[in-house]
Amino acid sequence: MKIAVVGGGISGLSIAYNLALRKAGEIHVYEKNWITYGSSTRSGSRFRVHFWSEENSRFAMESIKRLEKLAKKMDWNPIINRTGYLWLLSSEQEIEIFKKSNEMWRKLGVGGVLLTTEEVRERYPYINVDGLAGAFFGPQDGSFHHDYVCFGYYSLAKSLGVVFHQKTEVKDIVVSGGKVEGIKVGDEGLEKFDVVVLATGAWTNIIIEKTGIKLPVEPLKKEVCLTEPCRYFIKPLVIDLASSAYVTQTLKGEILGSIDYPLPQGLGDLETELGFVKAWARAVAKRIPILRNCRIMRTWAGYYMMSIDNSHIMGRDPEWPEGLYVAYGYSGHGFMMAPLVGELLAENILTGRVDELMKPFLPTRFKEDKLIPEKLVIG
Amino acid sequence: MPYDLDSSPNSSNEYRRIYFEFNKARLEGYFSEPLVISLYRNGVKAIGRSKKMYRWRGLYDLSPQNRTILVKANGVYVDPVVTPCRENLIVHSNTSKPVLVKLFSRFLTGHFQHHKFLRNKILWRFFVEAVSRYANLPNLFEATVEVNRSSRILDLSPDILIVGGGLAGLTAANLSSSLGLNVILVEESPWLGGRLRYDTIDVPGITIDRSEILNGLVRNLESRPNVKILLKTVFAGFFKDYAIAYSEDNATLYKIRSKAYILANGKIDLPCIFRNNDMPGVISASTILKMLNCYDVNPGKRALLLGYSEDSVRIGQQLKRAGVEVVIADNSDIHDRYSNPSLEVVDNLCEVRVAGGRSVEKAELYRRDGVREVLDIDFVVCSAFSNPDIKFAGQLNSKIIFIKDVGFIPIHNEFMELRDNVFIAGGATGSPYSILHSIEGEISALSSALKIGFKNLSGLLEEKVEEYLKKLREFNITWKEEVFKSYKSGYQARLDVPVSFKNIFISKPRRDAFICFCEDVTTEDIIRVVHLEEFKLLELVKRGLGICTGRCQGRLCMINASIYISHLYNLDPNRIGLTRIRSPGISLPIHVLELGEGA
Ligand SMILES: Cc1cc2nc3c(=O)[nH]c(=O)nc-3n(C[C@H](O)[C@H](O)[C@H](O)COP(=O)(O)OP(=O)(O)OC[C@H]3O[C@@H](n4cnc5c(N)ncnc54)[C@H](O)[C@@H]3O)c2cc1C
Repeated sequence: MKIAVVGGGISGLSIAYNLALRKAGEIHVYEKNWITYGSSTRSGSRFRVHFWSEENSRFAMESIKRLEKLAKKMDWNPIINRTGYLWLLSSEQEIEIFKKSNEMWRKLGVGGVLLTTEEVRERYPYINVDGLAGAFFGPQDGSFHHDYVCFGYYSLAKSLGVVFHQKTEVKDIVVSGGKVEGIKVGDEGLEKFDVVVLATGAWTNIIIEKTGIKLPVEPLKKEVCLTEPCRYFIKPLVIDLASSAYVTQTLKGEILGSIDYPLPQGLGDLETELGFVKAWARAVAKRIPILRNCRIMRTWAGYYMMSIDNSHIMGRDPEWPEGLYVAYGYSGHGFMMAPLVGELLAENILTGRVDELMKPFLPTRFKEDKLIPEKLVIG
Repeated sequence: MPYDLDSSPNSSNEYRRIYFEFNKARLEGYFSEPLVISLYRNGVKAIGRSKKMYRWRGLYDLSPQNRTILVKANGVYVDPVVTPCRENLIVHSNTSKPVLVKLFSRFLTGHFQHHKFLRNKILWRFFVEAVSRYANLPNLFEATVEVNRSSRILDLSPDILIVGGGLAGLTAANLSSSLGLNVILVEESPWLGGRLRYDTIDVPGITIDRSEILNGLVRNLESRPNVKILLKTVFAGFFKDYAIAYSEDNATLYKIRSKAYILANGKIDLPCIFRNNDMPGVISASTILKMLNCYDVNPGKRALLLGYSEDSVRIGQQLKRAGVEVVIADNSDIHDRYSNPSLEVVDNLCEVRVAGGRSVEKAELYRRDGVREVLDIDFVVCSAFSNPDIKFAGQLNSKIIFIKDVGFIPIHNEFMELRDNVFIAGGATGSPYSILHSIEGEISALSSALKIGFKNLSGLLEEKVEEYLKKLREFNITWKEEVFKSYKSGYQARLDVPVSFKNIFISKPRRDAFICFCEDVTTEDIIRVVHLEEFKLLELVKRGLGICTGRCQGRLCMINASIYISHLYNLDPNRIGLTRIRSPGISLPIHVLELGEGA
């Protein structure tokens, strides 16, 4: 079989690797810039297993297990570190929500702890607890290095014979007789393929709409701030639910974070705004006052690909042209899902089997009205 | 008066002798000069340690944008390049090296994390612990939060914002303000004049009266109410909603919306690549000139100048006049020696290695013909290669192309236009001589005024451009044609031009020849990732190694990394490319950013 994977982000790389591992045939990855260019190199590099919906929680749990296992095989150390997530809660209502979710998480074997403000002050003396009602700590969550994970997949895939075409944009998908015939690359003619997988992140609508398919997914710009490196002290990812600001520290020492800030929907430029930087600075200076002593060194922007239920989409709709698959719409928590997406989608492509974990995330859920509402979206 | 050319530290009231303390030693300096200069005066070259390997680090360049070392002054982490020396300042820097680092320094390479054994769960925990505990980074808990009473955020909305107070910037300011436009000029150093203040940048054979030109321009600007000059203020580039500048001196952040911008921010002296090139005592050419001509500091007794060029010969002569013994070293065959045969030149080098402890003491020069020479030296001047400062062109996503024997140049047209309302002039365009810089200043001012709506200036602009093109032909600067053409038509990289680079002095990748000084990345690390994954794109190498992501934001390493990879694979640097440059261009304190408007 000849398979084209479009997009060299974490999804595309994971899909290509898993296909190659299963000896699927001739696999080509097309990336319009360089691998990792899209959201994958712009992410916050954090994973969690604590989601609002059980489907997402289960999916993330399995996905991280896959990544941890694979880490031993990779040439690049993905630097997986279970540092935990600390959700700062400002109202009884928020505490109730986490209490209820924690029951679900406990059933899945990943229960966390609810902390009082006193306990927060004791365990994280650098956090200003003014106005807090409590906190939730999820010890199973943590961080990885996004570029190293991508490069790890890339080098494994390459060694299994996957062909990479960087700086090569796929312009169109050619369909005939209800079946995918191939793709058009640049100005050249048709490249024949039996299967085309779109893992094109925020740019998916541009290409999928050419085949007449429309799904309720929109890119949303998100910006990130990074400070100068300082001695490591913020271990978990700290999220202040009230301001939706988050803060975390990389092993290199930089403090990274973002805040919900009104930015335009849709694809546009990836420039960042001083207004955003100030909003984040104000929020973190209030929550972690010692950061006043730190300097913001860099900002960047990327896209969350938001589906209407904030959960990702993978697989195909039987009404689509035969041989067309997608994996996108991650709504800001896609990096951690991609290891499992790659595995399940590869199996689905090769055997037609739809795994229990994958079933809820099929693109058909929108017309069947079986949404997976996800309320815990960060940033 | 900071811009008075004849002032020397001793002749002015400003420069009072004062006492300060560095790591418990009582030292003498001059009031308000940069702390690094005071330290150098006292023979303190090794100021701090590097982040991972704890190698000694000292002054390389006097630009506040590099932030290569931080020290603690009165309990606050500061950059000794920007911090002025004050009476009784108590300065502290981390000079010890943890035992663990001593034992394991062999493993602290940039590609160390790729070692497979680190995936072992127990070792991994140990490694994470070590990284978090032993990296030489500021500990926020050991510093006091700096509260500057005067810190504030101010809005500026001039007609023209000019970045850089060198000849090009001053000329542009002079012309545009004479038209009645509101002009703001930001300059990062404490004086106006840029290179003109400390160097002659004339065409060989033509001399200009620097002080007369400079004082004339400054007098004009000072007499005009529509000109505002912000000294010691660093332009930090463009966000989508504002351009910004920051003054460390009074902790003021300027939010700028200007009708037009002129980038006249000059060139950067890039570090040379040789063995132990991170050692204290390795100093950029412009810094040496500032030491000699602005701060009255004797840089040393015996100098090794890297790179043979008009510029380095001129620096060599100045050093000689100051009583320094000078040897110039070059990596190519020098046939045509410029005037002044009294300077000793060693050419055809394939490798340079310096040695020493807290400062360079010796240099070993290896010639291609096998001859090895050992010199006693006490400082090294990196004068082989300077490149236009491409930071802001990069932030604006302008195309930047590599031109053989010149460097990476932001492409612009003959009207000095970089992008709709952003113009560029002077050394920042790559032009070599002051005569060109002043014409470019005028053209950029006229183009900006035209953009703002002064339609009647188009005739004058055409004339100036005519004159400019004539001058370029006269000096035989043909590469500018290529730049102008690329602006119109888009550049097509020629992919196989072999190029030689003037600042590379190693014959193969070495683990003591550094590319990135913030993250301790060596030429050997670079080559590992390039080999491992065939990463022949700087964007990928950056992600693999963390170059261009340290405190200097790639200012010192980005171009060097690109040309080093080109050098190894004999590829056009246009193919390796540069990386995206992000805002802000300098790091901004959170305690200022959090302030409300107009506070
Ligand atoms: C600011 C920010 C923070 C985030 N934080 C986290 C986090 O902490 N944890 C987490 O798990 N997730 C996080 N995410 C989300 C995560 O980054 C994404 O969900 C994930 O990277 C998506 O990967 P992808 O491969 O699907 O898409 P992308 O990485 O965007 O890759 C798509 C690729 O396709 C290429 N492409 C597009 N069109 C074409 C074409 N026509 N031809 C060829 N190539 C094409 C693009 O160039 C791009 O490289 C964050 C995202 C952002 C923006």
